[in-house]
Amino acid sequence: MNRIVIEPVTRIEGHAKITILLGQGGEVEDAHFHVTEFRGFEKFCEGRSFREMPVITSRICGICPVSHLIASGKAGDALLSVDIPEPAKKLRRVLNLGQLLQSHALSFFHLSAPDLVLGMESEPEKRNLFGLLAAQPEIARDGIRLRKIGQEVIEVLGGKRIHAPYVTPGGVAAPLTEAGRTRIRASLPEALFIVARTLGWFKRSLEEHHDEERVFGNFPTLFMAMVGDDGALEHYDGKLRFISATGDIVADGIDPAHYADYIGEAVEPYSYLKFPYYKPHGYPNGAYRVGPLARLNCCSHTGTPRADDELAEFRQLARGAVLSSFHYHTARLIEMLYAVEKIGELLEDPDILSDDVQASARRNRFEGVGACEAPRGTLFHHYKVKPGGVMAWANLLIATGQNNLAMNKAVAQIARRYVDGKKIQEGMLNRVEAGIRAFDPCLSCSTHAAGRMPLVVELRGPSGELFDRVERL
Amino acid sequence: MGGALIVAMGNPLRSDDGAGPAAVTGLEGPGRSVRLVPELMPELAEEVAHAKTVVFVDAREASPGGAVQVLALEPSPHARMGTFSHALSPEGVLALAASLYGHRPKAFLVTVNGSDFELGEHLSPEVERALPSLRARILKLLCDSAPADR
Repeated sequence: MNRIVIEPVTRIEGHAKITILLGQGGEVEDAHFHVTEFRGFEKFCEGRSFREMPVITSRICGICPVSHLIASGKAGDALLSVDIPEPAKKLRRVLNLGQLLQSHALSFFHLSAPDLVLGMESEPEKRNLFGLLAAQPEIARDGIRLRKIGQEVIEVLGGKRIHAPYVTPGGVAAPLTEAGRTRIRASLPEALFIVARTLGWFKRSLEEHHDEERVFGNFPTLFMAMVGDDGALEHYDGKLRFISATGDIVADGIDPAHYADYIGEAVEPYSYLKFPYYKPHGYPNGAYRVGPLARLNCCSHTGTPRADDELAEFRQLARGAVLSSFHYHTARLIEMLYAVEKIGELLEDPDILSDDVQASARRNRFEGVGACEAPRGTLFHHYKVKPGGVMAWANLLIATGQNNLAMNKAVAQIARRYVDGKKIQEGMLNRVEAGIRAFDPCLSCSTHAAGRMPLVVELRGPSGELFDRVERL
Repeated sequence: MGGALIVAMGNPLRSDDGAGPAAVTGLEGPGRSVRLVPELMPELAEEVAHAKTVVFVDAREASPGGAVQVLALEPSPHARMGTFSHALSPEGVLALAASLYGHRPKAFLVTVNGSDFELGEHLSPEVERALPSLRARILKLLCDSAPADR
C-alpha cells in the first residue's frame, strides 16, 4: 500500500501527523489522523488534593484553560456534594462565554481565515496571519479585538487573562464588582458589531466554498451536546442530547455524570488520542461529533434574539442535521454572537454583583463528575478520591478526542477528492489540513503540545520506497 | 504613547522555561508594565504598539547554562517560531504592531540559556544564579533607551 504522510498539521493547537493510505491503483483507501505524543495529565493528578485540580488541569491548555477550570470545579462541587450559589453559577457562565468568544475568535480569524480569504491554492508562505493582514486587514484587526474582549471578560473576573484560578470547588474566588461589570459592558456593542459584520461576510462568501462544503467532513454521524431543560443552547450546566444525522433525537436528558453509560473509549495503535463512541451503536459505528456544529444541531433554540435568527437561517442549510464539518465555521460565528448577547443578559441579572459566590463544605463523596461545553465540545472531568480528598484516579474526556473518529473520516473524504496518488500538490495538503482545522482540534488538551517541526509530506510506494517528499517550514 | 513593556515568555511548570517570568516578577513600576505569557499571541500587538520600548524575555535550550544574550529586534512577518502561526515570534508581533497600529517601538530580546525543561517548578542552579544578571540587563536596556525617547 502507498502512503502519503503529512506532518505536522499546522495552525491547530498542538502537533499531529496525517497518513493517507493509497491502494495499488493510487486511489485513497483510508486515512489516519495520528496524535503521536503523550501527555499523561490524568496520571500525574494522582496524589494531589482534588481542591488543586482546577489550577492543575487548567494548565493543560493556554487557549481553553477556563473549560478545564469549570469542569474541574464542577467535579469538585460533586465531591463536596454542594449546590453552589446562583450568583457563582452565573459568574462561571460569564467566564465560560468569555472564553468561548476568545477561543472561537482565534480559530476563525487567525487560524482558518487565511485559508478562507486567500484561498486553498494560495502560496503557503502568504497563507497565514500576515497574508491575511495584507489582503483584508480589517479581518485580522477584528480577530484581535474579539480575542481581547473575550480575554478582558476573563481578566475582569479572574484577575488575569490566562490560567486565572477563579473557579474553585464550591463556587468562584470573588464576586464581580460594579467597575468590572461596567468594563465588560462597555466592550459588548463593539463585539456584537464585529461578529455580526463577520458573519454577514462569511455567509456571502459561502458561494466560493461549495467544494469545501461538499467534502470537508460531510457525512452522517451522530451529534452530541449539552442542552438546557427546554432544549436551549447550553454551555455550562445541561443534560446531554444525542441526535442522528437526520436530526432526530436518539437519546436525551442524560445526566453528564452518567456519561460512561453512553460513551465508550476505544484505542488504536497509531494514535495516543482515544476514540470515543456512542456505546449503543458500538465501535466504530457510534461515531459522533461535538462542538459548535453539534451544539447548533442538537439545540432547539439559542435563547438570544440575534443568535436565534441566525440559527433559523443555519437550519436551512440541510433538511436534518447540518452534516458538513465546514459549517463548524458558521456555527462558531453564530456561537460568538450568542456569547456576546448572553454575557450582556447575564450582566443585567440582579444577582450578578452578589457576594454570595462560595459554598463551604468538606468532602462528602469519593467520586464526582464535572462537565461543561468547552469551545471545541463537551468536556468531562471524572475524579475518584481517597479519604482526605487525595486524588486516586482521573479520567478527562476531551472534546477533540470525541471528534477523533469524525476527523479521520473527514481526512479520508478530502483525500479521496484531492489526492490522485501520483504527486503531492500544495493545495491538496492545505485542504486536508483545513478540513482538520474546521474541527479546531486542540491536541494540547487531548494529549500534548510540544514540538516545533516543519511540515513534511511523504509519498511512499508499496514497499515503503519514497516516491515524493515535500517539506515546508 | 506608553512607556516600557516587558514581555516574559515561558511556562513556570517547565523548570527553566519559567526563567523569564521569574526574572521579571516585581519589575513593574511607574511607566513600566510587565506581561507574563505562555506564548506570543496576535493580540499582544496592540499593547506593543502603545509602548516606547519593548523587552521580550525568554529562556532557550542552549549551553552554557545561565548565559544571557541580548538581541535588538526589527519587525519581520517572516520570522516565525515554527509552523504554528497562532504563536508568533517577537519580530512577528512587532510586524503586526507596525502594520495594524502604525508604530514600531524599540525592541530587544533578552534570553537566558537553560538546561532543564522537564516538568517542575524549580530553575536549574545556573539559571537561578543568572537571574540578577538577567534583571540587570533588562533594566539597563530600558534605562539606555529612555533618553532617546525624551
